Amino acid sequence: MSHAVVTDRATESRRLADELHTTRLARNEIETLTSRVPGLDLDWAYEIQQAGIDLRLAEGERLVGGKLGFTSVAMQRAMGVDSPNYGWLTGSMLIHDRAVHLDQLIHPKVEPEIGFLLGTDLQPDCTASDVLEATIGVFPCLEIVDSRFRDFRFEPLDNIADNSSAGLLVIGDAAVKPTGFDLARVGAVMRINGQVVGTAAGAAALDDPAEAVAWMARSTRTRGLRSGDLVISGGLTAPVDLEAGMLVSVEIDRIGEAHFRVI
Amino acid sequence: MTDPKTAAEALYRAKQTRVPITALTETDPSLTALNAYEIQGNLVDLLMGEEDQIVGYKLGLTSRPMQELLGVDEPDYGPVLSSMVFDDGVTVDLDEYIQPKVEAEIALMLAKPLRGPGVTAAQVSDSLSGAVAAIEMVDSRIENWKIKLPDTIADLASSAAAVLSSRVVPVDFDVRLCGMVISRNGATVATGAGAAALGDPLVAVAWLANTLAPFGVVLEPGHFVMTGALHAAFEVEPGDYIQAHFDRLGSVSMTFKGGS
Repeated sequence: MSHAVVTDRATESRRLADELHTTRLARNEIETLTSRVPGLDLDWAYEIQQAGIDLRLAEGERLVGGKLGFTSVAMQRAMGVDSPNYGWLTGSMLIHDRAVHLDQLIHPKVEPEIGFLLGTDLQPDCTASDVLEATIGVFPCLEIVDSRFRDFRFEPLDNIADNSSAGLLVIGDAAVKPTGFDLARVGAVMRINGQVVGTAAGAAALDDPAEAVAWMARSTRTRGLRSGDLVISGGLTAPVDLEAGMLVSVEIDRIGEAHFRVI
Repeated sequence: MTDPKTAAEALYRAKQTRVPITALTETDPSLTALNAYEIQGNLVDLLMGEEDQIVGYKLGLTSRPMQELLGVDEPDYGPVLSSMVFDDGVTVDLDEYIQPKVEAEIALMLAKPLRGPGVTAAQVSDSLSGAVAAIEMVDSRIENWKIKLPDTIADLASSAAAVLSSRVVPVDFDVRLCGMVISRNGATVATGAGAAALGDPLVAVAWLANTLAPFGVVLEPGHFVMTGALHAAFEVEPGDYIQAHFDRLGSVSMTFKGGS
């Protein structure tokens, strides 16, 4: 009996993941899962997320790392949660020509983040200092988040099932070893067409971006964080809607800059 | 029409009695920013005791969200008196204020005079002895913070106190990128970076020097400028311990007591 229930749920997870996958490719919007899937809970939401990643891998995409969501107190309060969430990054999310095409997205927003390139595997009991030890370098990143849910409105569990609103990612050129300074205090300035639209310090991500990465390493279900993974540690400022013609940049003190054009 | 002396006296009384007044612009909608600076000048004369002096300036409305909130496209300023300045670690009695809020800022300290007009950000950079971690306590002598631009200008740009770290740090880094984390009782409340102040705290000081020029006012060596909030100001309660940690500049803190 319980086996049948599990099987039903696995089938249902694949169906919902397929719906999200198709919605993303067709650039549609759908109703939230929480409004129509009775019994959806945290475990199930992550199962749907994993089923969605499996679909992308089956289409030849490659897993390149992880991402954090809901890492700021303001966002957690707004969503009524008290912990972050995570999602996965695939190779096709990486932008290489510093151009983001709106016709590939639904209702994208951008937020600046600090990215970590790992040089060793992280253990499931790891701490922020383990993360710093394992890090080859940190990068300035601009994450383009997108939601497959109508009007970018959803409950926390919807966001998990939808791979934490992962969209595209622009990373800066330089990687800097995070030693001799405190990542929690580095300043970040996001500009659009040269005008400051947000400032922050690293602590905006779970009080310490390295702790955000450690949280993901301790929390993942299907796969750990490994050597070679790129992990983006959570938005530092409020997200900004993208419009054609924008030049979006982030400068992060002691680390570097990243930018892209919106087409 | 508002008489600058009468308006200044009303604000002075509100500050002394801690009973806020109706917005000046509600009584006189025709009040301009220039009128308001005249009221501010009268208020400074009233506030300045024999031992007191102007030791710096504060800039207000330096962030785009604040400018949009008040429907303006420029910052404002007010003088900081020596009686308003406290050292790092001060305990402040909330009962001495009306409806205060706190915000972390970068204070820039001058080594050379700055005389507008035509002062550039590069000249500001060349005139500095350094930067100091600071917390500004703002307060409004206007009921419920219901302020328009002339109200806050007349009311000392809503300033109440400045708490400065003792370390003057040479600015050999990009002050726009200087990160800041402010916490209440150890819990992070907000973060920001120098660029929140008019895109660049150096530009903010240049704006001040140039804006003061028509009044014949020069920024003197030893003066400091509170260059503007790096995050949204927030309210405090008795017992709160507020700490602002700046990258490169160190930290500054204050404690609040009172609550009668």
